[in-house]
Amino acid sequence: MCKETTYLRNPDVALREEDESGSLLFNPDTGEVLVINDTGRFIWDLCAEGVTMDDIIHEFGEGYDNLPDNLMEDVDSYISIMTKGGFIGSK
Amino acid sequence: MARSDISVPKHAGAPLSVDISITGKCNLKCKYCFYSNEMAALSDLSTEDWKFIIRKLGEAKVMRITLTGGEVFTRPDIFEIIDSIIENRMRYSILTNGTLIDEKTVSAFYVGKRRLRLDSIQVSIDGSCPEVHNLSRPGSFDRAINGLKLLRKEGFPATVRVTISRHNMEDLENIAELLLDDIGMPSITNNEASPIGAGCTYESEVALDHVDTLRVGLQLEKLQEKYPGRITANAGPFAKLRMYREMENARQNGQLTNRWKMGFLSSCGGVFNKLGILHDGSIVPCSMLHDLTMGNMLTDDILGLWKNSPVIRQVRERYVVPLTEIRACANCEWVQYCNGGCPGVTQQIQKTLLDPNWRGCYRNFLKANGIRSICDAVVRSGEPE
Repeated sequence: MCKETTYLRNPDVALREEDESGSLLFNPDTGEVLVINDTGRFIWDLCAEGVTMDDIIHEFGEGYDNLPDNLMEDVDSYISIMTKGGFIGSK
Repeated sequence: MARSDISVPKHAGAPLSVDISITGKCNLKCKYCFYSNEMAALSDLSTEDWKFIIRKLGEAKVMRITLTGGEVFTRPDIFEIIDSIIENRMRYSILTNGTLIDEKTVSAFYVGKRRLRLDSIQVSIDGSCPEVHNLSRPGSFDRAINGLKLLRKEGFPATVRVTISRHNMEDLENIAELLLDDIGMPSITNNEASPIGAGCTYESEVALDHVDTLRVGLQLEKLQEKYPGRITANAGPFAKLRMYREMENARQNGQLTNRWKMGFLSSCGGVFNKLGILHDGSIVPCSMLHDLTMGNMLTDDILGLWKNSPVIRQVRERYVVPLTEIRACANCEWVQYCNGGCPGVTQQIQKTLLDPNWRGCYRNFLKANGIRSICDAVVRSGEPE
């Protein structure tokens, strides 16, 4: 993953908010569904406008008091899954 | 287990999928069509009305739509409606009689994302030849088969539903050969004709009784051995025999199924994930429950109805009704294992949700066939269990 890479939502993807089980993303072009937790949801919200990995980490720092140790890994993993599933695009 | 020991399962935050009967019009007059008689009196909506409804479904974050009818392809605006589904970020499936599918129809699917977003297109085939198929679906065999072959040739996600009735129950092996061997379908699904709608008018001609159910179910199990994994069913004789075997297994070995809550009216999981919309925009819990209107898509808030409509709550709450509370079931030896069957059939035939579906009753099935278990029937027919 290049530091300058910008991530942006696929505009065709729909976000469904379930009551207790978190949220899910649905890519209607592939039929693929991705269940996301709060971290995933935060990333999804940020990707409404193009963001880099540094932007995402920075926004987490601004938004949360106690960041988990494995935040970087978590974000990496989400970005990778979301990109592979076509939920977000990169440039 | 009592009513107070279990709770109604949680429903999704919004319907995951919606079945839309997009038109009441059809170019055929099938003898078991449940969407006929009183349904024909409702008026079709305009293109603009459907676009409005589909936009509302997209806003509610519905993911999948199944278009059915009537016959979907009798609507000249069908691809405009499909485009609206695509614009609103959903996928779709189609249920069709196949007779109006020609080269022009197929080529229309290649515009934009119509082909990409198509989950499946199901064609109804009820016989291996015109003489059988046309008994249920008059004058349509050649056109339906041509439509299906065209879809297969183009690599569409085509599926086939065989509705089993007295018209075709002697033809099942030939049907399997035609569809699985000759046409090369990966699999076929089947159900049975119910005495609902037109099926009510032609009940004696089409509906299977318990004796037919056993004979046909065993025959389908044999075909399943010949075509492993290629014959499927969620309803009808094949599905009933599977359910009865699970009931026997639970009773004899204590192995409870996880497909339903044994001893409760728990057969229907649909109302926790999906809704139906009729061709006049009426919202119903399921198209089989078309007389239980919750509201109308043109005027009502779908999510409000999904969560709070007393109609759908009543169907969901069947899940915690113990069969022991139903007088006719209370003393049945199978009461702890049964699920009461499809509420759609119960509602249409018996006009109540709070009864089991007697057409699927295992006790009646055993009695009618003069056996104590399905194993008896298998032994009697000379087949090793």
